[in-house]
Amino acid sequence: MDRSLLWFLSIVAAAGSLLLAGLYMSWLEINYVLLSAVVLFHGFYGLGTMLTEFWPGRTAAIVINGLCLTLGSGLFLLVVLTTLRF
Amino acid sequence: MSMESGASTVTAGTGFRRWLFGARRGIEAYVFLLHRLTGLILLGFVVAHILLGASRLVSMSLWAELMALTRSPWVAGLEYLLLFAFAFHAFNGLRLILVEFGIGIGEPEQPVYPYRGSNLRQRPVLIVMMLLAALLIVSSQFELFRFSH
Repeated sequence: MDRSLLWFLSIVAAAGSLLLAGLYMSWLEINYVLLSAVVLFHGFYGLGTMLTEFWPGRTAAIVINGLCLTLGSGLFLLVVLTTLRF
Repeated sequence: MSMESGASTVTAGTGFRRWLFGARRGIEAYVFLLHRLTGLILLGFVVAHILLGASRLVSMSLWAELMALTRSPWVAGLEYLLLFAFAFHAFNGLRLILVEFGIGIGEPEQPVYPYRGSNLRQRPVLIVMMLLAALLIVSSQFELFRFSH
């Protein structure tokens, strides 16, 4: 796939997310979700860094970072769902 | 950090060894250890916070039960200690960002005995940051006192 198309789609996705967030969330809720995203990324990136020091190697790095990414994304999804629902 | 000849494996620079036996690298090694431990504690709190909030998606009674647990003195004490972890982690993180940008570690210079490594040169930044963390902790005591009365 063309990179410029990917770039365009990512911009459309970001704009769409912002629009949906603006429609369904208050300013405080948007801040809470964004803060959660930053904290989760920082936390799980750090955890992945630590774990790859204990279990060095390419395969371990892929598994550890994959797990951290999945856990972080899952928790972020929970934050979004909880914020939209309540 | 020592390297075995030929095998090129790191023997004392990774994992728990790096965490526990860093005394020769000075106080910074223990600050490094504390930064990671407080980071893990903060991540644990964030995960618990999200799961607690998301328990409402399962049932409100489950959420009420879990909220009742958080009102125990033990949890309140742990949350109080979280303030220390947050203050330390935040200000030490700020120091790491400054060091990353080369602020506070001086210009490269010729190694003249007695050697003065970048650890010693950036130590004033460490001291200032720890003082700021202590100031945040002390000032927040007043806030806690005000809200609890």
